[in-house]
Amino acid sequence: MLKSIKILLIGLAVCIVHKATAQDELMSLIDTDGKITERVEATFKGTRIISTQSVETRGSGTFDVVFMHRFGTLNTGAYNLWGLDEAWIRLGAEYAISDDLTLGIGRSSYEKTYDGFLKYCFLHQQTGVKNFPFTSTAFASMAINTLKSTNPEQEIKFSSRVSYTWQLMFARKINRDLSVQLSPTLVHHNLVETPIGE
Amino acid sequence: MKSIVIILLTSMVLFGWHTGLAQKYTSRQSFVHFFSDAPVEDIEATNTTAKSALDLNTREIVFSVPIKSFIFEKSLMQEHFNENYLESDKYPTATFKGKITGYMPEKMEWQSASAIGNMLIHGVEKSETFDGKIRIMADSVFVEAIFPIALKDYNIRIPKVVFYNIAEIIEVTVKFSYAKID
Repeated sequence: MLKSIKILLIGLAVCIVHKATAQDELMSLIDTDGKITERVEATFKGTRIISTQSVETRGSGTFDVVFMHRFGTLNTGAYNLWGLDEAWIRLGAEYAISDDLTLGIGRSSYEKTYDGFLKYCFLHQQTGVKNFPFTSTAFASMAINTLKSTNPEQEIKFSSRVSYTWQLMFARKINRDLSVQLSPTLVHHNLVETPIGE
Repeated sequence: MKSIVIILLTSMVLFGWHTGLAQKYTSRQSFVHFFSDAPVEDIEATNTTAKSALDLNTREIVFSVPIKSFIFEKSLMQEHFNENYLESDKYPTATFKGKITGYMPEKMEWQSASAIGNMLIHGVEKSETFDGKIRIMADSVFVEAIFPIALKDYNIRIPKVVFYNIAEIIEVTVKFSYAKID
């Protein structure tokens, strides 16, 4: 008697186990773990990290109007509200031609500068079948300073007003809370101030 | 010893009988869509990468929806959906495991049916029942359902500032077409 109860119990257990695994069995038929490649999204939440560019570009067709301030220095004290009293302003407009390519123009109050830029994200961090460790974006801009010459006798040549910036950015989203970026940058001014006599 | 053999044999027979009659289907095409109707704006997104499987013998159905594959009209909405609301890095898929009831297996036309089971979204599991329809054909099956999902049930928190942009209950549509597997 005791034995048959035991058998019954074990049989019941087998049935229950079977029932519980039936849905998991079905689940395993559609399991996609590690069978797909996913791009890592939102390495940074915005297209800029404070004042510098981030690797992020906006989605295709997005028109972005950007109003930026660059404040004065902190060490100017309470009288200057730690730099908040002075600010350079840049008004800009950017358009995402594709998910990876953005064009932008802007006008900054600093030396009354007009600028235009191209930003292209050409490598994407991804996980899954094809792993790739980082996202990379190239940035190129041209800026034109339109300040009037301090000496009315002397005209400043257009070429002397132009400067260029190139950046090759590498960023990795390490986890939900931390992303790091490296931005080697080259800035070229056609004309630079040098002390008299050099 | 003898009883162990009997148990083994019995479970083998049970199992064998079971799988012998199994009528398993996996999805070939899928469509998952959600719609949020709120005062400020309507938000919708579509996902065609979901996968499902069903067994007409046991009437069990499962499906799995990769959260990151929802496509929104606005890319920023998609980012917020993944980063802030569904936290798809932590909870990459939504799944459902359940049973379909209330249909006649021999009927070859569209007929109404219900599904009862456990829905897992945003790491929260909840029992759900929803109505839909099913069509069983020789080698294929079609399933469609429209059902409401209450965000608070799945611990999806919408900040007050965007409260009027996102509905508290969103309407989800799922459509699967299945083919028989051997």
